[in-house]
Amino acid sequence: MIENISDAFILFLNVYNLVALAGGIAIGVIVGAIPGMTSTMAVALTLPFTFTLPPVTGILLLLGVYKGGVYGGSIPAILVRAPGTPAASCSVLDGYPLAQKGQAGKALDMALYASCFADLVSNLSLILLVGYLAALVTSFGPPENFTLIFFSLTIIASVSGESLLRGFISAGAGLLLATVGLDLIYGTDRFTFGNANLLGGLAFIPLLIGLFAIPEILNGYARRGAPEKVPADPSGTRATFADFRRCFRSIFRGSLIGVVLGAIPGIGGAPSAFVSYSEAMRRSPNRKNFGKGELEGVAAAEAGNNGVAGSTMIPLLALGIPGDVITAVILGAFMVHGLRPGPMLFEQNIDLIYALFIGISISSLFLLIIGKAAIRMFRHIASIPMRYLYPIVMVLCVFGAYAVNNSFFDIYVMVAFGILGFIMMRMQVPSAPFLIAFILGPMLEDSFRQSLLLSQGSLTIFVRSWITWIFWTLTFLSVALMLRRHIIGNPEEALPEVPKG
Amino acid sequence: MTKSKLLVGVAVAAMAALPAAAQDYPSQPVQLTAPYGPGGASDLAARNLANVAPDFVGQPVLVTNRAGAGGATGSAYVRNADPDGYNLLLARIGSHSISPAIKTSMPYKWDDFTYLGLLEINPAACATATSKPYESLDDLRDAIEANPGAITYSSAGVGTLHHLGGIMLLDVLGFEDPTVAATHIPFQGGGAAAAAAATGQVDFVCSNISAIISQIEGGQLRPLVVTTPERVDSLPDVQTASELGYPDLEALVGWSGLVGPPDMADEVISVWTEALQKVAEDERWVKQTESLGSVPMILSPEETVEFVENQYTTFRGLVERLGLQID
Repeated sequence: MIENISDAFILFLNVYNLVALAGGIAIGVIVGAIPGMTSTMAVALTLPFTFTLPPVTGILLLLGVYKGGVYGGSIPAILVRAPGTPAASCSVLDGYPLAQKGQAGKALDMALYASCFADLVSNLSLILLVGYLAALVTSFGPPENFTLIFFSLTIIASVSGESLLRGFISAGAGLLLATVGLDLIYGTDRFTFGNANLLGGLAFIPLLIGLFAIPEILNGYARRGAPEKVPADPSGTRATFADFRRCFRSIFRGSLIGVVLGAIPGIGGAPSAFVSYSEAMRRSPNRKNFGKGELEGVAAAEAGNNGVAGSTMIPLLALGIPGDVITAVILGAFMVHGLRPGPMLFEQNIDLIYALFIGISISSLFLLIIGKAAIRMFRHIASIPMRYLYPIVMVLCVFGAYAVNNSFFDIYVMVAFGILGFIMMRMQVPSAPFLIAFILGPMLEDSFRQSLLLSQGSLTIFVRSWITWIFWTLTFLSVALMLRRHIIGNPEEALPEVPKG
Repeated sequence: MTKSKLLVGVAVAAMAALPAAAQDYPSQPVQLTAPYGPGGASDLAARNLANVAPDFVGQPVLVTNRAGAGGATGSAYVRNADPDGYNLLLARIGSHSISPAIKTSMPYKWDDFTYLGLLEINPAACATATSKPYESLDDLRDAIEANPGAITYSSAGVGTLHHLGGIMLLDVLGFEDPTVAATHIPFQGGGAAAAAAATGQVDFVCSNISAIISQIEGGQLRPLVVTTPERVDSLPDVQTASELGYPDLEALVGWSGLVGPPDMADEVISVWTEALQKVAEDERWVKQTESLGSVPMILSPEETVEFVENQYTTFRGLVERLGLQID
């Protein structure tokens, strides 16, 4: 053991590994900050460069890009309401209102601190708990996934804002549009109207950009005579230690949620961010301030999505199972070096695993340093007058929508959802429930139908294990709390807010 | 702007837009479309080729992912591109033999393309979790006979190698209607399908070996049969389909090939056939291909068409016989 670790240090300690890790994080942050350039894409584009590098260096480079990308997505989410990555969409909810109040610096800082802390927790879980969490992964089948997603859907109530009805309308539309494309079980076309572009379903990134960034730009132009520039709030330039301490409970909780959801194949950062956000809101005394610029909301969302960044490696390293597209790319990097992740890797190449672990555990620190530098660069965006900023954002949005799949059709999708988002904004229908339903809907449907195929139609499969019971209980508690709050809750809370603009 | 200047501008633009003569091919970078997402087998095969091909064709090869609809989106894009040789496609078993055989609504046919060559094959195997009691294909058949429909197998979706593999296995094992003998459970992608089998959520999976080799070596999956004519180097103890008396299962083999839009010029085709012959001898390419679990196999355009046609015909026959097609 000691010998292995000292071998690992020798394997890890060279300047190339440090440069690869830091360089990867810097690339990731920048790419993640460009709407439409996802961390998945960045990792895939980096992959060919790792073919010629030694395995540890190459894999650390990829991990750096991944971790940087997950964080980088929050920067445009906060500054211009255009989430750089799907996982950052939750950070829009409170990050952008904070920026509008002139507190962009504070929101960016908190997003970084929460991200780094969650990343650290996730990395430590990977290193210390890989065996236990891998055992958890193997007990998750379709019925367990179904109950988990079912529970996650209850967060729609927390992000619905004042009116639960409007939230449900929004979620219903999201569920409906998520059914476009190929049916997983029968392979038949659904709502494609013979259009080959719709066979793959509505692309997620164009939809995301359309729903969030475009309405804000349209609204900006519609609101003539309004102040051009947000005056910076002197108290909102940076997050203090007191802020971090106030949000710490939510950050820690979000990190743990991220660790567990990250370890389960196929769930990913976006649901984790929303679950973390919703839990933070449920427990916060400032509940009513969520969605209007609550710092704790940013912290919870970012902790949730970065909490997956380490644990997502657990199924890959322990079982050889890639849980998402990014780990599939990283699996490719292992394979081109003749390494096969899985139990055998721990037996045959333990020094390599330890060397990776050493790299992974210092990545959180690198992320903090590089993130700080990035904020220093990006925070000035908040003070650019709208008449210059909006056209630039618009160009980036069109580019981003196109770049995801090199498809013009995706630009139309973005424009269509931009208009839909603008109408929803004007009618005070929140867009977050739409997004959650769009992400979770297909997972819910697939796991439901897979379960029933497994059980030959018997519903008892949904209570087959202790995991399903846990999620049923959580769902029940969550719905009960929600009903209490909305039906017999404080009547003041039910008053609709006067819209701005 | 005066009229004459405008005319000059138009002329210049028209000249720039003229396709470069086929004799000079390639005079600009070649775009290679991978019809699946980044990190998948098709993406890696494309990037591996793009890594070495510039040395033999003299221009960069740029890989672009156009994923969606089981490879149909990217394939249709190249099918409709100009046949000037600057838009090529990394064709796969899924996009070019299974989907065209199984889906009537495909926007192209398997032979709509100019085949430039086969690159590699991906041997397949059928496996079960080591936690399951099936030690052999006979055990599996007995279990299916005892409980019709209760035995399950995972796939990476309808119309994938996994899906057709399960059906073919049940077919060669002698079940009258393979669509009901065991239950097909589609998952999102090959990784999830392998995971479902390794964790015992389903009873078996038929997959390309590279996607399940870690679980086999890690002791979670027990391989029951490989579909290659010869035994596979990495699994020397696993019997082949022919040894077990099921030679028809040999049609189940994944592959990657290089294709272009229909009606490409002969000059352009020969640039690539010559380049591929050199790629076949390139150590870097061979090593990368093998380390990804594939078997390098460069074939001429004619041999490639024959190979794909054979496979397509086998699959199409199965689809028609069992009524598997999807409208």
